[in-house]
Amino acid sequence: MRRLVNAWHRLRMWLRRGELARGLDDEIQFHLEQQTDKNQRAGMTPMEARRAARARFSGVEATKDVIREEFFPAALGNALGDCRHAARALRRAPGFAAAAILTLGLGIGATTAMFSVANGVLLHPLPYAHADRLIEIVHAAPSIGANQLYASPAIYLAYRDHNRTFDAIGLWNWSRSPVTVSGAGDSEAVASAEVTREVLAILGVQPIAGRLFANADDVPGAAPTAILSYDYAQRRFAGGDAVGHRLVVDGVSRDVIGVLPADFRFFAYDVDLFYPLQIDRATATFPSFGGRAIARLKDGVTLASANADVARMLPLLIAEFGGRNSRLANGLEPRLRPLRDSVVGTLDETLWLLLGTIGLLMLIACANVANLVLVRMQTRQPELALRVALGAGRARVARVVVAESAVVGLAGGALGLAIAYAGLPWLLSLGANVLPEIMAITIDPRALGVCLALSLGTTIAFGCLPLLHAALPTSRIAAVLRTGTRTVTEGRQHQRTRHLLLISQVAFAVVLLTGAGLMARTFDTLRHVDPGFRDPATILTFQITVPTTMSAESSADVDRIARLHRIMVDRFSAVPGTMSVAFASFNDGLPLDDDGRTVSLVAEHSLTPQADETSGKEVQFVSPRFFETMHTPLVAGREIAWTDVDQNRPIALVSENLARRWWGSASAALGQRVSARESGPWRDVVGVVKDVHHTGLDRAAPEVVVYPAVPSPTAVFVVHSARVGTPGYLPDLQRALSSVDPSLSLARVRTLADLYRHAFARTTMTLRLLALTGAMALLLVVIGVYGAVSYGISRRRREIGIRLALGARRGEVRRMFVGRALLIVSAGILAGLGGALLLTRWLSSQLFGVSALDPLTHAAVAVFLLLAAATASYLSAATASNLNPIDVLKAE
Amino acid sequence: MAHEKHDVLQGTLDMLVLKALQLEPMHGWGITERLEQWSERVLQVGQGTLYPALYRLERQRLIKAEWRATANNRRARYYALTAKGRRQLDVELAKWQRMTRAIELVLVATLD
Repeated sequence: MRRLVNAWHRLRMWLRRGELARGLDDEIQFHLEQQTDKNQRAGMTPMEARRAARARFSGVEATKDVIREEFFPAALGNALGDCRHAARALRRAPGFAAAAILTLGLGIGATTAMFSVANGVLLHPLPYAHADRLIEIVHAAPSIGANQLYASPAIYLAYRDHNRTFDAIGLWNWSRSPVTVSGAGDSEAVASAEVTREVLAILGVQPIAGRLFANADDVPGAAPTAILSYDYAQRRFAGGDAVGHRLVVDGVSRDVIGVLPADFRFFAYDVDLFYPLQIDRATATFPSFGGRAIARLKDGVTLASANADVARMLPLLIAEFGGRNSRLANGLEPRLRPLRDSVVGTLDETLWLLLGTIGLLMLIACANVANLVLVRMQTRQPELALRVALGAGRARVARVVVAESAVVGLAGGALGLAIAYAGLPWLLSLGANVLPEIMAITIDPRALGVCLALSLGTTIAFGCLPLLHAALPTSRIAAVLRTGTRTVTEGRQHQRTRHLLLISQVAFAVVLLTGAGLMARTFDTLRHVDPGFRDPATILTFQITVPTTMSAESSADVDRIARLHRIMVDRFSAVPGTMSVAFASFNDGLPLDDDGRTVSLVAEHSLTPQADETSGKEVQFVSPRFFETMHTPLVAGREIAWTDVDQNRPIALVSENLARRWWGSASAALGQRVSARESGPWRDVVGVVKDVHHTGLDRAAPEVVVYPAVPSPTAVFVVHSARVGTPGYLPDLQRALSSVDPSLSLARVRTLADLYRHAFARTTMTLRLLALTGAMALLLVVIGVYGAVSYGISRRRREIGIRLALGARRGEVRRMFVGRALLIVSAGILAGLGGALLLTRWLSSQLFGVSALDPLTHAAVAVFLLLAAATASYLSAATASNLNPIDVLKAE
Repeated sequence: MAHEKHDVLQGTLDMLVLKALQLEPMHGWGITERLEQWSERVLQVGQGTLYPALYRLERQRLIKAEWRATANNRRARYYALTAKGRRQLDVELAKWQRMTRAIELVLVATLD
């Protein structure tokens, strides 16, 4: 009954809550006016009277809030009301609210976005069925220093026949890509892959039309077939049905038997046309490594047992396909690896690194928020004390704190979400050249959840710390209430906690900034590496594939290709603005394309024992003027001439590093003789070219041997012209090519500058991301230092007022606070430098030309951070100490 | 120890407010003035605690409030004792007298 009456009473008050709230305002206003009148009667000026009245009331707004919350049922027992109240309280502390929400937003947003990228690439399975059972067949031959040898038809056949651990194994090859497609419509270059019948099935793809390859399709002599990507089928057949049509692919008429789904991707490659890799068992030999093989393991088979299975099969492979006397074949070891490792590659190192750095960033954000909240709760102590005096229990007070933390946390979370969504596309664009597109990267809800929970937890935990630590003993409540606001002395423990938080925050920032600094120095060093060519933006490269009528090139084809290449060089040279044209046979010879093949090479006479020559030399077959076109300087001797090509003369060029190692100097190489075998035939070295980086600027330029061009269906052309990159030039080149043969087209058109940029892609991405996290860390630390100093001053307003009143200079007061802040920051920097020494070693694999312990970088970061902290604390001190001592002393 | 002090403080304020309202209804500022006057300026009631106390007493229906015009015609919220409030005041006063007497006895005893 009593409860019912009570409820009725509450309901009435709730219905009248608007009136009550206005009433409260009026009532207190009336009180203040009365007090002011009285003060005036006592002889004060109106302004003094008003101020004194307010001062005597001690916390008008806080009192109103407490009454509203304790007695107005709208806010009572209502989480929404709690939050509304908290929002109101925060509006009165805009500095705290802005700093806390910004910190949380940046922390949550950046961490979520970066985590989503790293997570998308690192932890997501490949988008294929049974992705965890897919592996790539890789071998190593440690004895000759080769650790990445793939597969070949012989290897495929042997493993297919004898394995005990594979569900299926398939071989694929894209060395003939792009193929020229003619027939219905224009002829065009199309990215292609040859696959055995198992490959697409292993990846678990279901065609959206037609069928996949079957046994009958990859038998030599079977009716030629092809399967198209969704995009290409749409493009080529204008949205119509592709299955059943015929396409002429490199001169062979093929039936389109299937179309793949739109979302299917062949690893990181944009393949538009698949056709059967038909293997003639009689011609397969070993050792050979012309292809890549993938397999799906049987359920429950481990990588180790699959490796053992391959080791068991190697002798069977040699027995059937040869290589009994080959050092390479006998030294071969299996190195199977999960398919995702093949796709993601060494990128995971970079991404783990970034995951670590964003973890640190999140820690900094949490430390910052913890500090802000601690300070905030300290300044709210009088109000909280009032609540306790009114009989509010600990739980009730905790609710006030939690509500405010929740409001800050939610606002920060919302900002973070916005930052994450806005930042993700930008992050992806940073990694455009590096991240495998195969991975669908979206904002990861779990990452967001974890970040949000972490920051909310921090806010609430540190918000409640003053309560848990009996910071409000009842003995002090009276004191708090009597003295009003802002004079509560802070517990020693809290001060220590705050200092510790600031120190750790600075320390983490030092680690991050050191990482960013080391990356910047790496970038700078790489920029200064001579890639072996100049003016890369004026040098255009593209591939041309001449269709051959039969799979094994006949001598008629060889002559035709040689003739066509000569004509192409002439026609391209005739295009206005072209300065020089050359080509390299096959797909080799381009710098920094991570592509190329190695051959064995020995010298007739050399300074080093030839028996030790275990690693292969990179080989190129080039036309005359190739190095001139590439702007690669000739160090000694001459370039290859047309007579060398036409007569297939036994000559060679070598790279400068090889010449120096074998014969001491570039000029000494001229006239020496080299060969693939010690038994000859020998070739005369007629020229030495400058070293060119083929596999990346951070790796040593390979030793290269250069032979005259040979007729190959696919050749890569290089064109030097000031017109490169201007509109109209590429169509001119295409027209010149069509005049040779209308069925030919340019493929993989890139400038050397593109290749150069691509070689930088990973370093650029790592640098940018580290710089980004570093900048954010710096921003957070600056916010933290600023806040700490301004809080320190606000807490000691009275003391400052007295000092100023007694004649202290403002500068001295400021220096006192700046000095204290810098002492704490210095401690953080020292701790951070220690941490950096330990942690940056994880970065070593990403560095080039700079040690992870580089003293210059560490020193620069320390000085830079100290300067930033000094500026932040000075500005904060200047603003906060700008008070009038009279006001302060009066208010107390 | 600290807890009891707190209770006494709070209990006392309620009693003093009820006592101030015993003769006639008054507004909040009037209550602070009267308490100061009666205590010969020894007791200073912090307004930050007075208003919450008024609202609490109102909720306990020991006092009731209404808006009225003051002598110089300004609107103010006047508080008056309810019947329940008068009974409560008697109880509080009796309790207080018992308490002070007990304290006195103790103080006298320690003087010996």
